[in-house]
Amino acid sequence: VSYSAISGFRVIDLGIITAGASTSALLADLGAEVIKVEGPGYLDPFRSWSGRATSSAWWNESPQFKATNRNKKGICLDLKADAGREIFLRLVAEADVVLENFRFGVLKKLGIDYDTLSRVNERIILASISSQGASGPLASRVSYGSSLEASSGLSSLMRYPDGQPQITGKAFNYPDQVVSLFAAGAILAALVDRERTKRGAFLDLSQRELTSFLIGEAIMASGASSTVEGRYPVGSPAVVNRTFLTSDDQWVAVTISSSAAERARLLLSSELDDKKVEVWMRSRPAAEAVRGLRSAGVAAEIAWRANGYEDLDPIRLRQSFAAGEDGTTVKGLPLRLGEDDLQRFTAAPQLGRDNRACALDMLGLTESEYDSLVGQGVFTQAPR
Amino acid sequence: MNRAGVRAPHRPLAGLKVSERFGPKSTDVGRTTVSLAGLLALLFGADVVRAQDPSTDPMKNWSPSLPDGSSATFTYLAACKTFRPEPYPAAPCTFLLTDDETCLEGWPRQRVVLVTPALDLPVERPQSELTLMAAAGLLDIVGEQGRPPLSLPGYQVGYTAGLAAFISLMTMFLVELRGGAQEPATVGALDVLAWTNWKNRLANVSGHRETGIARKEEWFVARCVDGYVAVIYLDRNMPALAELVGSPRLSDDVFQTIEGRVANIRELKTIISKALSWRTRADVLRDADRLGLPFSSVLDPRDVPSDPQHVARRFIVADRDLLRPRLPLLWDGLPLATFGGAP
Repeated sequence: VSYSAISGFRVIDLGIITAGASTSALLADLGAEVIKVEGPGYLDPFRSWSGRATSSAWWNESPQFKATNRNKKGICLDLKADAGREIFLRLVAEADVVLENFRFGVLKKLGIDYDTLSRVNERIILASISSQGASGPLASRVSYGSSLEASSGLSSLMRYPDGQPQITGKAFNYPDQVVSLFAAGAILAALVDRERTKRGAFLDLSQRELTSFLIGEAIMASGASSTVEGRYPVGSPAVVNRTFLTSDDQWVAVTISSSAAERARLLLSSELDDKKVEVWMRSRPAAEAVRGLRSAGVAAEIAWRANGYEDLDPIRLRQSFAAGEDGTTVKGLPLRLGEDDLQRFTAAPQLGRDNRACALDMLGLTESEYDSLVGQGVFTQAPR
Repeated sequence: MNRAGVRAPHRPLAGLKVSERFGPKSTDVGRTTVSLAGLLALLFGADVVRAQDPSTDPMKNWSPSLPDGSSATFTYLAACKTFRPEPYPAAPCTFLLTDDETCLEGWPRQRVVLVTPALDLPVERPQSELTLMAAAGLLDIVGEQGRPPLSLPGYQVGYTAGLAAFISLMTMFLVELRGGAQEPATVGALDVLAWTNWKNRLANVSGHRETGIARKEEWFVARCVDGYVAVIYLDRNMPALAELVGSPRLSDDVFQTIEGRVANIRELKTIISKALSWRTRADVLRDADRLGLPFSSVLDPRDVPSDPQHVARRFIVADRDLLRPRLPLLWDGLPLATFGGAP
């Protein structure tokens, strides 16, 4: 099954790594035609995120790139060449959305900033995803997901009672993940607006602002009284809400709501303080503890470890991950339209895979014009 | 202008009507998910009603609290919306956000974004923010070995799922405006969370075998005399890092590659931590900025409103006598909606 809800829209994708490339992937999954544009001097860094593969075409082997850029077309176009920039603007003239997460100022330097794009297509939507936003004193500061966890206020709320703030690090980089969800929604809202106003828009999305937005209740509380101290809540109030170690050394998350408290007391044969639950949990293996707690209406899940993540029942997460055309694991679509899961994921583009089709079919270039551009190095299939 | 004083210079979603509705089978994660998606719709200019008597809204008891003892979470997510007993009736440009199938009566399913704890787990299996993070592998990312794992703070599970629910809502609305065939949308919080945790899923094939809480993570938080900074860097930043901490040792070959740094992670962190421990955050960040290091100050939420970047972009706005973040986006250079003006 493939989705076609937003088919007919064309997205020119300058998005890289997670924040940008994952946003356009979501739009591709929903049915948009996404054309990823890389340059011979600047590949998506995900093409070598774990180091270069040993094959001669190392740029086509990266698991991270394949996982994120499936369901897209891809061209390799030298935007620094006049002819490349001209080709790009011709693509923009026929597109609906341009998406980018380059460093601040790069679009202007390449001569493809919003003013330029909107001159060739007044209905174009430009979505710029950046760390800090496109204005303000820190607009040009380079940041990564975990820098933004720190500066957004999120890290301060993620700590042991006796410990210091924490970041999720390279393993997760939370702001990078959530910004693609927000940006995809914002682009769809802009397409809604354009459907009615016939006007394009420049969307300036700040990852740092989004991360602060996602602790908005803490900002409201702390701004009012500095009451956000000690252990910050995780979820709604509960009688017990924490992780416990079991006899087989697994961590199990347990949330006993007030509605489940009585049955939980009967199960544990004790009052529900953390210490009593801890003793009960420590005396049995995780699977048994979880089974018993669930039978009493208690929320209980084993904390899956990162190195065991592949052992998770694939049926449970079939919408989150999928097998790509070449069998590699790729990201899925985290929502379902209709009754069926999205299951069709075309392979991520090898560098410049769709150069010819783009030039001939989309732009109407002749074979000789295309060959000339290849000869000039404007269209390529390998990095410089 | 609505009850909360929301002014919207431009309302991209004007004309869209969204109802939030909860029922006996609603869950707390579902309430959060629906509330966040509805908040986004409101801030983009839709009319949003919460079909509920506000006095019975369980969210009013959720932490953290405002000085008057009321819930900051309820105020943030719900108080800005219009409460009324019944949702908008099903009609064109009108959609329902709910997490309880018993609320669907009278609604064509293709006008509903239905939220569930997980797409493919039995609905009777209870879930919470914490247990869903466990099931999605998010409780093996932050923490110290031997201690209980740390979780993302607050309501991140519901918020993350709410972002996906908003995508669903926008997709359905766009399809309707274009006269396409509408389809029902379903969002599972576990599935969204697992999707965000894709790097761990790929760890075994991507070469990033350092996973889990016990991993040797290069990036960390270091203490300064007046707070903390996040120590973030890439390979190319190593000469700058060596200069910042004044350590010739960090210029050695062994620290120029991630493999070398990970193999000597304790020494690396000790060198950096010692060098930063006697300096102020401002002092460290000034040098980091000069050297092109992507360090960052660790801010407390109470420091966020006065941050110069946020002030310049008017990110924090007044909502009556409180401060709150605006929609985290500028549209043609302007905020879409404000809550009564700048603080």
